[in-house]
Formats: sequence, structure tokens, C-alpha cells
Amino acid sequence: MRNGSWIALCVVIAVTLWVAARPESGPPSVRDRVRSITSELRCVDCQSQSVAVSSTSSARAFRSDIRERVEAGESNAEIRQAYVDTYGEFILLKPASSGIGVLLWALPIIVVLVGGGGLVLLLRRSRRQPRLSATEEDEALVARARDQR
Amino acid sequence: MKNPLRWLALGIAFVVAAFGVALATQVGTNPTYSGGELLQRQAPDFDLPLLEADGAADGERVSLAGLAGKSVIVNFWNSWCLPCRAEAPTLVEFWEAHRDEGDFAMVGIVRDEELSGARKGAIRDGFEWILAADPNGKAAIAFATTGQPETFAISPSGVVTGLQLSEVSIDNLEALLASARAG
Repeated sequence: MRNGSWIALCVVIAVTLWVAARPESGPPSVRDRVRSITSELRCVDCQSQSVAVSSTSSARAFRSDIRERVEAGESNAEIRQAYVDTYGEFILLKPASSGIGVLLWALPIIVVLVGGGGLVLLLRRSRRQPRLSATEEDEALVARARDQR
Repeated sequence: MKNPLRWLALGIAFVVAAFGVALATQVGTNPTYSGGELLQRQAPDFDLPLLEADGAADGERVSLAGLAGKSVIVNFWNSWCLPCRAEAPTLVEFWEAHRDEGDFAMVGIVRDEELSGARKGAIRDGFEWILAADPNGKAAIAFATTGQPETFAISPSGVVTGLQLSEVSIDNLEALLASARAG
């Protein structure tokens, strides 16, 4: 019965995760696409805020321009690139996944891989080390202790 | 090196710590901005309604294409920005020195959404050069501005030859105009 409860719990968790993670059906709306693009662009007259959440006049101008571009049929990548072509990489909140930006994305992965590799090596080496074997003196000591009981 | 793995672990710990410190010092800061990608590239063409403060009739417009063949100074400003107010006398002095030169034009583009303050400010400060509104902020985006005041120099062939991302001095403006004429 206890195993049954665990299995039921696992099934509930798996179904919940699947429902939460599955992509929404149908193409994203204009509003969703504007939200997605603006959340990746830096508000140019704020500190570390995205265009999506800022209320400055420049952020409003960005949102309006991006909405027009979406409605005109430009893809998300084309719109992002148009802003990079004008403002440079500065406009992207996330570092680029090419050029020097690759280093920022790759460094944590490299650190985890190298750290994990080091840990595996340590464990394997510790397993290879021979266990201590008892000398004749140790055996005699144990025998004497047993005799005394 | 008795235990290379220990050194490796220390190295990784050092890299992780350095990465963490570098990230922590950057939290809440914007990267340095040096004016986008416009320098030495073709200036974005704008076609904007004139601000009526300078006597322009409603519906009149100004475009960069219409100023082709001239060295153009473009100044983004708005009525509530203190550095814009501070640089106003400098702009007037510069305008007075060059207004009669046939190869020169100056355009002030207002970033305000509500234009009555800009109209009053332009009259108060004696702005007599071409003044235009920027509905929807399209020109401000096309020039990759991050605020105001920002000033750009455009050569007679339409290339951006210089920019100033803060309050200008007379020397700045003269250097911008010289770069436009040389470009």
C-alpha cells in the first residue's frame, strides 16, 4: 500500500510537470510576441530593466515600434537583429550566444564538467587504494583480547 | 605538486569565486554605451512634423532627404530635461554663429510626448532653427538614442560623422560641424 502511494504521488507530479511544460497550442499572439521580444531588450534609460517592464517614454516607443514590426510580418529574430544593428549588443539583456558571449554561457557548464570530472577521479582513486591489512602483531593483539574475555 | 587534484579543485574554486565577484559587482549596472552602431554609417532618414513654435504651419514637415547636400546638426532634447535647459544658450550661440552659412542646417528633435512644454521652451530660449516633433519616438530609436540631450553630426552625403551623448559645449559643436563638413 505504501508503494502504491508513492507511485500515485510520482504519477501526479509527472502529469503536473507535463501539463505545465507542454507548449501552448497554436501560434503566439501579437501581444505574446511583443512581450517575448521586449523582455529580451534593455530599457535604454533605466537601470537593468527590460523594455517589457519599464514605463519610460522610450520603452513605450520601443513597444509601439516592435508591435508595428510584428504586425508587418517581421520575425522575432529579424526584429531583435534590427535593434542590435542600431544599438549594438548593448541592447540585449542576455549576452549573445555567439562570439565572446559564448564564454559567458559556457563557463558555468565547463566549471560543472571539470568539477564533476575531478570528483569522479577522486572517488575512483579512493576506491583503488588497498584496504589496510592486519599485521601478525595486530592478529596477536586481537587474539589476546579475546582470550582475556 | 603532490596532489594535482587538490590543485585542480582549488583552481576551479578560484574561477567560480572570481566569476561570482565579477557578476556581483555588475548587478544593477548598465554596460557602458558609446552611441550604438551609427558612427560612419548612413544616417537614418527621418520625416517629421515641424513643431509649430517656430512659426511653421501645422502639417509642415522636415526630412533628412530634404536637407541633402548640407552639413546637419541634429539635437535630441525635451522640455523637462535639465541638461537640455543648460545647453540651450550654447545651442543658440552656435546657431547665431552659423545660421547664415548656406551649407549648414540644424534640427532640434523633441522627445516629449506632450508638446506644449517644448513649444513654450523653444520660444523662451530663442530656438530659431528647425524644430520637429517625434511622434512614437521613431527617430529617437533610429538614431539609437538613450536619452537627451544627444547631438549628431551628419555629412552632406548623409553619413553620421560624430555624436555627443551629453550636454554640448561650443567646442563640441564646432568639432561636430567640422567632422560633418569633412565627412
